[in-house]
Amino acid sequence: MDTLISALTLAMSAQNLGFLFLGCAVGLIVGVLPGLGPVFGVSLFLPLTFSLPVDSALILLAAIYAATAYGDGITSILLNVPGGPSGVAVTFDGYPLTQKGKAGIALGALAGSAFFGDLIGILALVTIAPILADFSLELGPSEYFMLTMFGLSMVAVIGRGRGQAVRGLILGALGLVISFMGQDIITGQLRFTFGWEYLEDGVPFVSASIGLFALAQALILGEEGGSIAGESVLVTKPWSGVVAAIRYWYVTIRSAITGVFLSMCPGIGITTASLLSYFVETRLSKDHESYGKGNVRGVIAPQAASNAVTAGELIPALSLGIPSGATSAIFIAALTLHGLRPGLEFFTSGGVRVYAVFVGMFLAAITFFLAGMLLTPLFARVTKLANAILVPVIIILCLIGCFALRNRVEDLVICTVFGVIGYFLFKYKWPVQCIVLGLVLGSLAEKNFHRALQISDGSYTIFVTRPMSLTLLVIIIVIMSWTYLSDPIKRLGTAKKTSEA
Amino acid sequence: MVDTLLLAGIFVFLIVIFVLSLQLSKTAGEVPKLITGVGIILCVIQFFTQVKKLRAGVYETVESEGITQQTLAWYWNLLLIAVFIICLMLLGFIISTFLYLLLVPYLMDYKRWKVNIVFSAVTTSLLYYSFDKFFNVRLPPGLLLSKLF
Repeated sequence: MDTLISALTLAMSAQNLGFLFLGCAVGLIVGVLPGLGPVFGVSLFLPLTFSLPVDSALILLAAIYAATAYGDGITSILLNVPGGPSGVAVTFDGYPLTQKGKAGIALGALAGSAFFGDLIGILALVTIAPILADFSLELGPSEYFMLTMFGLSMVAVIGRGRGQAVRGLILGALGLVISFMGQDIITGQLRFTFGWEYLEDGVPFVSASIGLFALAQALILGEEGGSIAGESVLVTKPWSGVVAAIRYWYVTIRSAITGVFLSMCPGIGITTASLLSYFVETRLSKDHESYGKGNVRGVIAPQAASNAVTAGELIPALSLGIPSGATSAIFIAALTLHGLRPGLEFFTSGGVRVYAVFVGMFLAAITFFLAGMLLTPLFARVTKLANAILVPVIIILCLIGCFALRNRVEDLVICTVFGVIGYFLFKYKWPVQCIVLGLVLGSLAEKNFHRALQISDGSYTIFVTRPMSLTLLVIIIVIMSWTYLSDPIKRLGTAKKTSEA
Repeated sequence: MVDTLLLAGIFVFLIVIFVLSLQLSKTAGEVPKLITGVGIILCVIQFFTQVKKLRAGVYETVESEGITQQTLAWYWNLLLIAVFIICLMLLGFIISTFLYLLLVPYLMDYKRWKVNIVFSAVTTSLLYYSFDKFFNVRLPPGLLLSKLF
C-alpha cells in the first residue's frame, strides 16, 4: 500500500504530469496525421528523454504511444482516412457511422473503447505479465505460422460477409504476393523487384495502406463534391458512444484480451491486432451482416485491441527484455539509456519508479479520454467542411506522411499507385480490407513457414504434431468450412423441413 | 467493363509473378508459387462468375451519384498529384504546397479567393512548422531553389 501511495505521489508530481499532458497532446497530433503512427511518435521523442528521470521518460513515451493509438482512429471515423496503420480497421464501420450523421457516437465509442482497452492492457501488464510472457515463449514458428494463417482465414470471412468470397480471396492472394516483393528473408534472394532497386526493401506497408485507404478516399471525395456529412444533421452525442462501449462490454473485453495476447507475440503488432479483433468480432456476432455498414461494435473492437496492445507490448519488453514490436524496442532502448535492464532487475532495482510508470500510464488513459470527449464536437464539425477544401489537405497530409517516414520520393509514387488501385477497388465494391490483411501477414507467414520447416528438416508434419499448432489448424478448418458450408447446410435444413411439412 | 479490366489486371500481375517465381530457388519461390497459383485459379473462377452474371443481367454497375457541384474527376486529381510530386522535388515543399492548396479548391469550383489564399498560406505554414521544426522531418527544399540560393 505504501508503495502504491508513493508511486501515485511520484506519478502526480508536477514534472510527471507535465510530461504526461505533453505526451497525450503529441500523441493525438501524431495520431491524427495520416501515416504517422506510434513508432514515429515514440522514436521522435526518445532523444528528448535522455536527460529525464526514468519514470518521466517512460511516462512520456507511454502517453505518446497510447494517445497515438487513439488518435489514429479519429480521422478514420471522420474522413475514412486512417491516421496510421492501426486506424485502418476503424474505418470499416466508423466512416459509415459518420455518413449517417453519427460521428459523435462513433468518436465517443472510439474514446471509450480506447480507454477501457488501455485499462485492460495496463491491468494485464501489472498482474499477469510474467505468466503470459512465459506462455508467449512457448509459441514456436509452426504456431506463429498457424496464427498468421488464422488471420488470413479471415479474408474468406470478410469476403463471404459481403457476398464476395472469391474477390476477397483474390485480394488476399494479391496482398500476400505484394508482401513477398523484395529480399527473401531466408535466402536473401531478390524477388519480383523488376530491376527497381527501391523494391529490394519490399513494398512499404505504411505507404501502401495510406494509398489504399486515405488517398483513394481523397479521390472519391473529390469526385463526390459537397461535404462528407452532406445535409445530414450532426449528431454529436459522444457520451452515448461511451455508453455503447460499456453496453457492449463483452466486445470491449474480448477485443482487449485478444489485443493483449497478440501484442506479446513478436511481430504481430498493433495493426494486425486491431484488424484481427475486428474480423473475429464480425465472425462471432450474430448480425455480422451489419458490419461495414455502421455498426458501433465495429469501432469498439479494433480500438479496444489497439489500445490494449500499447500496454500489452510492454509485458515481454519489461519482464523479459524481448520486444514484440518496434515501439516496445524503443522502450527497451529508453530503459537501457537510463542504466536499467529489462527483466527481474527492472522490477527489483526500479523500486517505486516502476509502479509510478504504471500509474502514469493509467493517468494518460484518463487524460486522452477526457481530451477526446471534450474535442469530439470540434472534430465532428470537420465533416461539414467542403470537400474542395478537405481533399487537397488530405492528399498533402498523405504524401508528406509517407515522405516523413523514410525521406524517399519513391514512397510517394507507391502511395499514389496504391491510391489509384484503392480507388477502383472501392468504386467497384471489392473488399479492400483483404489486400491489407495479406500485406500485413504475408512476410510473417512465409518467414515462420520456412523456419518451422528448417526445425523439422523439411517435414510438414510439424504443423500437426505440436498441440498448439494443431489446435489452431483445427480452428482455421472450422472457420473456413463454416464460412462456405453454413449456407448450403441451412438451405438443406430448410428444404428438409419443407418436404416434411 | 472496368470491373473485368480490374480482374484482368490482377490476373496478368499474378501470371507475371508466377513465371518469375519459377526462376527462384526452391525456398524463395515455394510460397509465392503456391499463392499465385491459387490466385490465378480464383481469377478464372471469378471471370466465369462475372460472365454468368452479365448474361443473366444481374451484374451490378457503378452509377454516378448525380452530384455535379464542386467535383474533380479522379484522373485530374491524379494528374495534379503527379505534378505536385514533381514540383515538390523541383520547387520544394513551401511553394508547391501553397500552389497546390490554391489550385485544387479553384478547380473544384470553390472560388472564394480570399478564403483560398488565407487557407493555403496558413495550412502551408502550419504544416511546414509542425513537420520541419516540431517533428524534425526534413521537407524537400527543392532542387532548383537549393541550386539558385
